[in-house]
Amino acid sequence: MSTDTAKPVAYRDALNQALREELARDPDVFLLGEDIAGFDGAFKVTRGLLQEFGPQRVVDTPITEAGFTGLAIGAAMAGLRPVVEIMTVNFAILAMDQIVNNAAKIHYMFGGQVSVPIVIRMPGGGGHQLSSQHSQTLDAWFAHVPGLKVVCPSTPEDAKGLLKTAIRDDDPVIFIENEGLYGKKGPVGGPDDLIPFGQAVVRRAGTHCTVIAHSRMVWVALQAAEELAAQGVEVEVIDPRTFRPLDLDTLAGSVRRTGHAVIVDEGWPEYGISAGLATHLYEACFDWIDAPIGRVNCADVPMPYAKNLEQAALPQPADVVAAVLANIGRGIA
Amino acid sequence: MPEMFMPKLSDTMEEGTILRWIKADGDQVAKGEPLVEIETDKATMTVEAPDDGVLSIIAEEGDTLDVGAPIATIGDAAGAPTGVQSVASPGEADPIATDEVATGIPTASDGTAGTISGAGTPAITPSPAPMAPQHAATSPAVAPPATSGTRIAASPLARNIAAHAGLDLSTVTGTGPGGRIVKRDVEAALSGNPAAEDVAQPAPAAAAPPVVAPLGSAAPVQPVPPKMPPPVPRGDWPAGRRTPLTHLQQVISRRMTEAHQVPDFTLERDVDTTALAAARADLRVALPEDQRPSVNDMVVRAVAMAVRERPDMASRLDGDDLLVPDGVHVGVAVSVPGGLIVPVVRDADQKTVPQIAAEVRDLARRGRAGTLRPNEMEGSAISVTNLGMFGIDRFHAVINAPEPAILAVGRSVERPVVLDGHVVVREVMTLSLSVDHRVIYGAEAATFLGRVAELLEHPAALLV
Repeated sequence: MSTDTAKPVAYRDALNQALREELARDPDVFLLGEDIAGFDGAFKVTRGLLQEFGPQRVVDTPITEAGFTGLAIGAAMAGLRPVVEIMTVNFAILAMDQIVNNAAKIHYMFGGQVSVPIVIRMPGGGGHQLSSQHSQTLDAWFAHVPGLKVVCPSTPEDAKGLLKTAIRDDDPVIFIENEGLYGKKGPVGGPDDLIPFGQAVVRRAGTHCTVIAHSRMVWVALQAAEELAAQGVEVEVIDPRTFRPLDLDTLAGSVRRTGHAVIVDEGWPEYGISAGLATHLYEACFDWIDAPIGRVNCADVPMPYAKNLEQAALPQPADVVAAVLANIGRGIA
Repeated sequence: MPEMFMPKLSDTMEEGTILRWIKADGDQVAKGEPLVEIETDKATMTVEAPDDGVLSIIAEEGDTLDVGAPIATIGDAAGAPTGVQSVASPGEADPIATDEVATGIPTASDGTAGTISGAGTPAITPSPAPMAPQHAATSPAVAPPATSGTRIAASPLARNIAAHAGLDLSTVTGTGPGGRIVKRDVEAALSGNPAAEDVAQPAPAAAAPPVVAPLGSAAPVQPVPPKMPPPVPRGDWPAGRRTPLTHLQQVISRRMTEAHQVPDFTLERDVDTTALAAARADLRVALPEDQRPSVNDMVVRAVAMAVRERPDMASRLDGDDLLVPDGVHVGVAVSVPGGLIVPVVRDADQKTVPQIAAEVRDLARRGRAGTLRPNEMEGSAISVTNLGMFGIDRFHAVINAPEPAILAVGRSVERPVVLDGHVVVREVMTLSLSVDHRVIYGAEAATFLGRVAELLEHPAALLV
């Protein structure tokens, strides 16, 4: 581990480190996306990489999500390892045909003769008054599709370690960042510290209720955990980190011990991540649960623009506190 | 016409017996009123009227019916239906359906619950109110109260623990949302302490703390092993087949343990039954088959006559009082599948031998069928138990507390006996009288047993 891993690094810079290290390590890796080269990326994740690796490997594209995603899928089929940045998840909708019908299907439909080692990075999430079209959390859209791997890092360390794993993975990986996390600082691993897919992490140990949260919601859950601890309630906060593959064993193991689960998900409640996880847990833990699984989601509405309504729509720590207390049968203090 | 069906009152219940209709056929009943007592394999429970109306009974007292069989209808005075929904239908009584109700998901047959409207409506999460609708489903304000006699709202974990412990959930009070029985309630019931209202109980000691990766640590966390031990620790018991005690077996277990506290002693006496055997043979000529007495029926008669003569033999201890019960009611131990019951021949001293014979036959048959009512197994002053038919010569019985005495009857068999200086072959039977020494003393007990023997050795005396 190099010495600079000790000092806190912002989430966006952790991603930058991963990209830089992988560009340096493997000449087949290249980046493409809107404004990622000359402008350093809309969220400055690719800062300095054009200067360091040149325009052949850090490529600005036109505003054509379906076009450059398809181009990258073709390059991946031909043996390169493209890392696509889509400015936000909201624009990935334009590339869904390429992602769902090509990236996710080609390995399967060609009998394994061809792989698609592509990473498609994009931030999701709301909270910045970007209104309905630009504040969405669409993790479930991708997690729904067999053939994709879906990764949602919540910390700088995970952002770096999981992105490096994604780039080295031979399958298409949807790598969903969060706009609210880019400035989050924390320690990161070194050039050789990869974090494997399919390993959930216990962010906080507790015995009374399992709280499952990913991406920015991990921090919401941890804040709620602090408030609950002040009331004598110790929750166990678990971050699945990846949804394909999913580490159900860790989630179910915790729920079987606590007998209670609350899922915190910035996505919508209907047919989404929280609904899917709840189903898994009902199936795996039916005889161990002491209450219906609780869920805290984004309100089932298009995201409001008004700041107060936006905050009301997004899951807040107080919502998690209330959900946990209701789940374990305690009133709200 | 809303029908009531035999409800599924426990997970294992397959059939139930109508013990007693609290309301009579044609009575006007109100929703929630106690309507009928139903006995299951585990317990006797009272089922409430699911609706207002006039009761029309289908299943008679003593009937044993499969779960889901119709037991009554409730209509208005003219016989027209009063409700829009059938009540306590088999599907509704199913535990899974119960859970659905508890979580606020209406089921097709839930119309009578009425209190859950809107619970299934999708709503914005999280709402500006502090609680999101998904968890609102667990709040008491939304979930229907779990008070209906046919529903037991319990969490899967609570059901699991109760099933392993052989605990009847109908005996547990739920403190969870909407009255749901949750883990703490089952644990409280098993420990005998009321559930703490304020939860956040520490998890069982078996739950090892998970390895935690602080945010930013380099090493991924060791996943918690997926294979969890069963929720109820079993201690060091050997592996084997496990069966929860039936309600009957639980009662026997408790009563036998109580009886063991009684300081008792036992007297034995051989009885010459040669004449008794001859009398029984003669009675075969006179009586129809169902009234022909067994040796045991003759013993019951002899005991009843002897108690009538010496009522103090039936006196029992009640605090600082001695109570001599009115009436000479004699309990007769009957073996039933998976246990033992003691139906009672009431006023046995007033009944003839053929009457006792017929009554004991009927009680035993219905006892084995599980259709005896509780009052047919209550009130005995003294009991008789007999293992002669199994070839047992003599044995000491456990007193059927709070009775003061029990007579254990061995087999009647030919033995060599010294009579007038000669060894002769006679039929002999050994009686063993066990008594509560707090109430009955040696001489009294010996006199009583001697009188019983005397009556049995002169069987014509039993027929007067």
